[in-house]
Amino acid sequence: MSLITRILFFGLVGIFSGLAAWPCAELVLFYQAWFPSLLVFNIVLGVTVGLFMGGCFGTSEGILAISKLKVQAGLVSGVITGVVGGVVGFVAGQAALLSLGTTLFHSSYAFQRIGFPVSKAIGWATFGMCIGMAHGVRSRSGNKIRNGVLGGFIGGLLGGLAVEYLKIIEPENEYVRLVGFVLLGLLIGIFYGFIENKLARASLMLLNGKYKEKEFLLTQKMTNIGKSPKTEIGLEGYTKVSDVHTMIKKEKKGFVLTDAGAKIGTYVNDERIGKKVLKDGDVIRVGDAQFLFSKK
Amino acid sequence: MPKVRNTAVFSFLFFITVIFLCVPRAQCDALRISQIDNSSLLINQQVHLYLSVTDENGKPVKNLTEDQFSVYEMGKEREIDMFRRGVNINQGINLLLVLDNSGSMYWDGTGEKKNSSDSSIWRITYAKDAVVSLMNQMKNPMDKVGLISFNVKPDIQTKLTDEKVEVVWGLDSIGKPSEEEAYTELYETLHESVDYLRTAGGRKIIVLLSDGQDFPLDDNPNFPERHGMEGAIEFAQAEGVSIFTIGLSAKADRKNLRRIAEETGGASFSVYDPKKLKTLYELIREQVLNEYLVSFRAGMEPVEKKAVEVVYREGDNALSAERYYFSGTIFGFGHERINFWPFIFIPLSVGLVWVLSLIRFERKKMDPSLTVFGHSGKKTIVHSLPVTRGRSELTIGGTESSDITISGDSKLTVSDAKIAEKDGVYTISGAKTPILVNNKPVKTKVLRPGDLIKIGDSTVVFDEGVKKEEKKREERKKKPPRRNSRARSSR
Repeated sequence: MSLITRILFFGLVGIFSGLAAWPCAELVLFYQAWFPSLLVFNIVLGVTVGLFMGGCFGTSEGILAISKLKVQAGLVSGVITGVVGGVVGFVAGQAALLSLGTTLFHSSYAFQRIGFPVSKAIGWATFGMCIGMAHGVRSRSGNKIRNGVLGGFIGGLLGGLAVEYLKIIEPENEYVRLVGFVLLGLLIGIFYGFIENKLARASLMLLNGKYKEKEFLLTQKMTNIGKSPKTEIGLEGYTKVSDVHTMIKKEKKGFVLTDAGAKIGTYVNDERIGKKVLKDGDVIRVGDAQFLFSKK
Repeated sequence: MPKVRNTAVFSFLFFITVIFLCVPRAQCDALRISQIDNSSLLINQQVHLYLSVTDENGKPVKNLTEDQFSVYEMGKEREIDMFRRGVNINQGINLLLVLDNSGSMYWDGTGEKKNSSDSSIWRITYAKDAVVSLMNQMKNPMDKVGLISFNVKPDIQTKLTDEKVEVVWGLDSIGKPSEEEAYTELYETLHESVDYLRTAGGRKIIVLLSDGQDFPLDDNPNFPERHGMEGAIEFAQAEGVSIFTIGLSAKADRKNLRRIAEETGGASFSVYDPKKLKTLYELIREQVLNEYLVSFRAGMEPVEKKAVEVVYREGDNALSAERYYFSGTIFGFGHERINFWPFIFIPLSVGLVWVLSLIRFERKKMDPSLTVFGHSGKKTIVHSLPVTRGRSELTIGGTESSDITISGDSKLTVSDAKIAEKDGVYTISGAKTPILVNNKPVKTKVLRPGDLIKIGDSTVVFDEGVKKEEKKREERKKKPPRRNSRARSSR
């Protein structure tokens, strides 16, 4: 899957998540005065928005992997991490806003015109960061957390800035926040897809079969390949693949491939291999599937 | 006889004092919200107000009770959660003394004797004495004090410390300024003082003593960026620092000093006689120590700038003070009415994600094929392998007459490689030189699906595709032996 497709895919999912989160958030905002405290209010908002964004991004991760099981697992873990990330993000974002806002509050009006949108955007960014981080926490990978944090922060910041400046241009418009939500989702998605691709040091591309030309980024410390849907690259629709067939570990010297005791073994460049440091252009055979290993 | 008269006078004065002490409620003259603190709003929905109530002499009025105060937020009365007297006595204060050290501070009180060598009549001497006396009174180890003197630039004489004696030592290092230092950078010094004090926790107070006006030096290298009086006030407000100002002598800029104090929750004093400084410092300390802490439960009205009014009532007399705090939320506020049609977006989005999940990026193409991966930014081209009965061999090359043409690769000739098919098995062979298949030089090789062939500068991937019939055949082959084995074991 090319960079463009990946970005498009995550971007689309982001838009959908923003669309779904918006009416719920509006409902919560409408009833602000009914909440007993600012904390409860922010927790409820975090749950609402995190639920949709986390769910959508979790599902998308599952869709990109091959197995159907991963879609369900992605949805469930996405919802859970999204809700946690949303709550943490909202409370932290609100705290950041309160402290920044209080400082700005006493500043001159000329400065407030820039300062308030910026401080709100920082609140949005904190929220986006937590949602993005949740995305990484779900896959238990330090790199993915970093990608998510970066993507979420940039996405949130730009989305928040857009909303705040649109509000200045069109103060009466009811749909300003909708634009913000869609932008937030879109940008988190795009940046996530983009940064993930940029930060990956290597990738595997399937050369044959059902999922030919599908690209798997080796962002994690350990990537398992096998028939089992629990592996990172779950090969469904390929024969002669063992449950866990091969492991690729990221080490200091490079990416090291180790055969996981598969019956028919793992081949690199048509040679049966137990353990090998991979180099750019190597062709890896796992069962009937062949991968091209490329470094970036 | 004079002795008797003296005692009479004293006892009369004592009597008066007792009367005043007994009726403290009649004395309240001013109410001030010296600090408004929303830092725990997110934790427990509380907003803290530090209140200062003083009589007409500026003395703090102590022992007021909770029921005399009412708090209104957005015009609605709010419940007071906590009421404490003398709150800063227990918590301690952070006090930064800012002393004017311009040339005029070495004049006498009236300004008539400008170049006297008798240091005992200098204004600065009185100021120093007042500070020493204040230090002797500050016994609370929780209190921290710092000392800054300024003229053309601020000098930190004593860093914020709980060792009051260090402040006394700091006073000794304040010396008469030279000609070049004959400027009064009042506002910039104030800004820097706030910056210095801001990191301290708890109640933060600056006491500024000046006998003149802000008199800046053009292009002062000490202040590359200027904030002015407004800048200093805003900074103090933002950091919750109250500035108390003392204008010494008739030349002091009383108007601006009062404004600085009022806007930062401090108080302003004017004195002409430097002897009175001692009492003033003590008064300020007392005012701060005797502040009341009132905490109330804030409402949830969707407003960014919330007005808080405190009213103190005694009989028919009422005093009030107002300040604002910030309570904005990230997403802003809801609209006047709620639309329900946007909820259609939820099933719509869920549906669209579901549709995306169905796409699953599968290849439906079943034909055997050769995929030429574009070099130098060229598109990927897929050639299906139509091996007919008549022709069981295909040539791969760089010209039009090749069966499979890879264009744009100058290293290729008419036929660099050949692919032959027999019973569904594809074999590749290099024409003259060996070709690289899976990074291995071979002359001829039976192709497996996914094999990577390098010809010239191009990369070609072979794929057999997925053949349904073949699969079925394979399954059929596998099944019979199993049946046989079962049959055998049952026999």
